[in-house]
Amino acid sequence: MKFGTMKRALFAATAVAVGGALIAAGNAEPKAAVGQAAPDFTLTDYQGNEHTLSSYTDKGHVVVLEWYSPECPFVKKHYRDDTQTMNNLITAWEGKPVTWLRVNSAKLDHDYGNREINMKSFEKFKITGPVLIDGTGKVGKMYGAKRTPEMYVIDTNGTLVYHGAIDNDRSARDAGDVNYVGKAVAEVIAGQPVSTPTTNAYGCSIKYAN
Amino acid sequence: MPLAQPITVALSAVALALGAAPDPGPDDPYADLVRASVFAERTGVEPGGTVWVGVHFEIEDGWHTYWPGQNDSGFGTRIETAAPEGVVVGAPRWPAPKRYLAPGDILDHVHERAVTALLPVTAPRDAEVGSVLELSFDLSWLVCEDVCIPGWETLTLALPVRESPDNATGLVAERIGAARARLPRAIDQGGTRIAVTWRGSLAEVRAGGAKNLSFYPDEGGSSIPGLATSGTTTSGVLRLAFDTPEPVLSGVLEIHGSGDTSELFLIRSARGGED
Repeated sequence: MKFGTMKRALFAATAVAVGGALIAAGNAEPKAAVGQAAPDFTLTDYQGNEHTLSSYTDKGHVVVLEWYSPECPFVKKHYRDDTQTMNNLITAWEGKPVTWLRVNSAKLDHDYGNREINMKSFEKFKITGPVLIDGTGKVGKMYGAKRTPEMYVIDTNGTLVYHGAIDNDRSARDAGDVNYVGKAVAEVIAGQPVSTPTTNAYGCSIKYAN
Repeated sequence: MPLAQPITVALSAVALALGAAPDPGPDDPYADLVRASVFAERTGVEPGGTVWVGVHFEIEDGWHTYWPGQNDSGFGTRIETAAPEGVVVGAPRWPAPKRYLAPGDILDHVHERAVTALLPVTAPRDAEVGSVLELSFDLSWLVCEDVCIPGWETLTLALPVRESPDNATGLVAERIGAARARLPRAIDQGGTRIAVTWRGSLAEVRAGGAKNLSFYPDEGGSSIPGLATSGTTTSGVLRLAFDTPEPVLSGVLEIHGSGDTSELFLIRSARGGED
């Protein structure tokens, strides 16, 4: 009998997180739920600009929220040159009333919340849009976000119409062949109901502050 | 060649270059966090016979891999097999996981230190004694501590066809024994003390008078929201609430005894009665 290896690959790159704070029982914060009004929030991006969710929906934009981590392998697989899942969607919607906001809910003293590591990742991943800093995790918990990437689509009425995965491949290696966010946004723009309003998100756990 | 010693796969092999991720270099602190190997419980298989094959993952201390069941994050370890025509390889049996709860109510079910998945391999009746069955196992996993690193690897196992293969000994027997000790039994082997009662879309699970219970949903049932809170109890009743109209409870019930002892049962129950 013999044993052998054909191939093996490990990412040297770091990733993911596990961390944060437990949501207090009886928390009075609003909770995001599909079919209901998406909780409003204001957060500041890495360039210092404030973004308020309702300011985008009020002007008739569909809003996509992408929970982001600079080091998570499940995020990285969508920012490789051969995938560019997120940026390709954003490019495809240029000129259409769609706003894409990335949110990083990792605690600030963790690598994934670290300013410098984030700024470097934007360049590497060709991210030009805003990435919002949610270091307290307040907005992430309000939306029930647990992983990166975790996706939400909010229609122009401010209603949450999609929550779940970006696509149908749950591995850290390949992008899927069905993009749920692309489909949901196209349906909203066409004035149709979202045919798949929820899926199970996959990814790295968000490194929440305690 | 004796079968008794598993071979730990050398780490370097061929790295798949993926996007911007650098190849692990010799000083990479994240190299070799999971060391995979494959071995058979016996020194071969008879024509028409079945042998258990173990796929073993040695996991760096402090790190964990993911059980292929309900998890809030991560990636359940996958084993995909390829075998010659006529050879039947069954689904992997995974030892029961542990709950791993992180801030933000993030619940995962994980394996730590080491885990061996067991797969039954059945040779064709017309397999020739003296021939060798070449099996291949495509593995993929995510290993996490504070950060997570994905890994994948293909292992091969050459299984001789023999009239009367011997049992493996040593480390192989030890690892397979450890895996069996954490495999759930069928519920009918638990007697009448395990009961699932449905109240609408709420399943109540009891195990006689046992107080400390945990439930680990597998991939065969409906996902259970709020499991970070409801998935373990010291009250003797697990109350598992579903948000789907026709819920199916499917997974492993662990009845915790004193110290590290426990009993494990496979439970499958659909609303309206066990199926």
